[in-house]
Amino acid sequence: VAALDRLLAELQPLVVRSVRLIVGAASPASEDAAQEALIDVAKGISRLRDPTAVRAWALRVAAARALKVAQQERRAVLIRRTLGRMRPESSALSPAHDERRRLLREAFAQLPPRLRAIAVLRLYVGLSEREAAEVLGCSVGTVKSGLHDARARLAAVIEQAGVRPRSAGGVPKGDAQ
Amino acid sequence: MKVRSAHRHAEPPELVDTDELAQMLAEDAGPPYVDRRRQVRRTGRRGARVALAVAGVAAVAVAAGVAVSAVVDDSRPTAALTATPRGGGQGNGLVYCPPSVLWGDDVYFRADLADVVSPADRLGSGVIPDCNDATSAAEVTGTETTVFAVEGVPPSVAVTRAGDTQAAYIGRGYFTVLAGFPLRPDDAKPVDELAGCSETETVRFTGTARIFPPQQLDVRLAEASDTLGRAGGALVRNVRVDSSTVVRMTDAHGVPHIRDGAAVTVTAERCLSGDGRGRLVARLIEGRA
Repeated sequence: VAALDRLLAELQPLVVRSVRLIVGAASPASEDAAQEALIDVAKGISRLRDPTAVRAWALRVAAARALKVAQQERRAVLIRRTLGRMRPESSALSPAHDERRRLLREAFAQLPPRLRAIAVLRLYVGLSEREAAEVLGCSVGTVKSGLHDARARLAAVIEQAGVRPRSAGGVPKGDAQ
Repeated sequence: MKVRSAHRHAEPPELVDTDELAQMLAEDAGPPYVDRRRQVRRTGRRGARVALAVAGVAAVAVAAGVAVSAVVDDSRPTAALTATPRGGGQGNGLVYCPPSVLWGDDVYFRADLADVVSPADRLGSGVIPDCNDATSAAEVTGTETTVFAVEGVPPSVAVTRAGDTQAAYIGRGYFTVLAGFPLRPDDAKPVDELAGCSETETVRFTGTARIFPPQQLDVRLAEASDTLGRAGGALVRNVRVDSSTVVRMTDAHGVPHIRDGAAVTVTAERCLSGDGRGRLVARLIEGRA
């Protein structure tokens, strides 16, 4: 039990932060989703057969929960916006340090949840394309194109606002499979 | 000379720099625990489910942090503060922060014992923790207060604090309903958790005690009688302790006390009827070698 507790404690920051970023750091649902993901992980961890794969498994569980919530939230936001009952989601964002970062943050929140998940797993968690594909249950190509798509969409939003994207960096290191 | 096709000459789309995106994600990742200040309050079945599950996860495994780290180190005073089911107190969101005070390495939870508490010696400075789900003692923020002993009671059992001296703050693992609790008034009405329960069965189990939240006993099972219907490793939550419960474990002062993490053997009655159906009420709690 103590070992299980320790393992869960080690996984917690990763699970919580990944879920929060996928759902949307500014979304009011993000903390609930993070909590539910922790519950999912805690419930399932004792049934895990391969302890060496625990990190990937926890991320898979967390990503599944986050995507579910993010998709629900996205639908809810679109409906609310269509009905004109609330301002765009971006209005709820916390003040950013600068205009560019604010735009990036807003644009990231508007990305489809799956693209957000790919970006989070690749750029925040630091998974390789293959690992991210395993977590999300998709192909390596989907991960690769997803991250490219996300970066292009973000750049387009920033450019539209009249702020030129910073020089495009390459894909994260350690990608050679 | 190699001739490239037209589309290869097309301007590639501008891309946001991965470093910039990674930096933004790192900034937005937030604290390593569930931030309950930002949680929306939910009502109904889902809210209850989450709250209960979190209490369980926290007690066994979450603070959730959420609080998962809450129980990793039982010696941390913040452990019991991080993820307890909503039910009062000064909290926000799905969970509550039971009124408490930190003094030394211990956390004490408030109990209203107005008639019996007399402040005694000044013990020193303590902290009234904010409801911010800290996951380690180092992260606790709060308001400094002065902690006093309670007359006639060892400071490990109870203290009181400046500004709230009509209340006792009870150490973890002490149960105010027990007849042997030193601050229990002589004329206090006995608490009977089986009141109204006409049919019961006896169950017996051994395991590790979790005192979480205050005045509640959870037991991580090692072994159990068949009638309990739970296997080893399962968590039996909210084993009630009432005035008829005998606790054969004491602290150094002879006060009935169940140390968090102690190995225990519990004999309990399970209510099989009425509103209390399913309730487990401890009749005997003993230490286990």
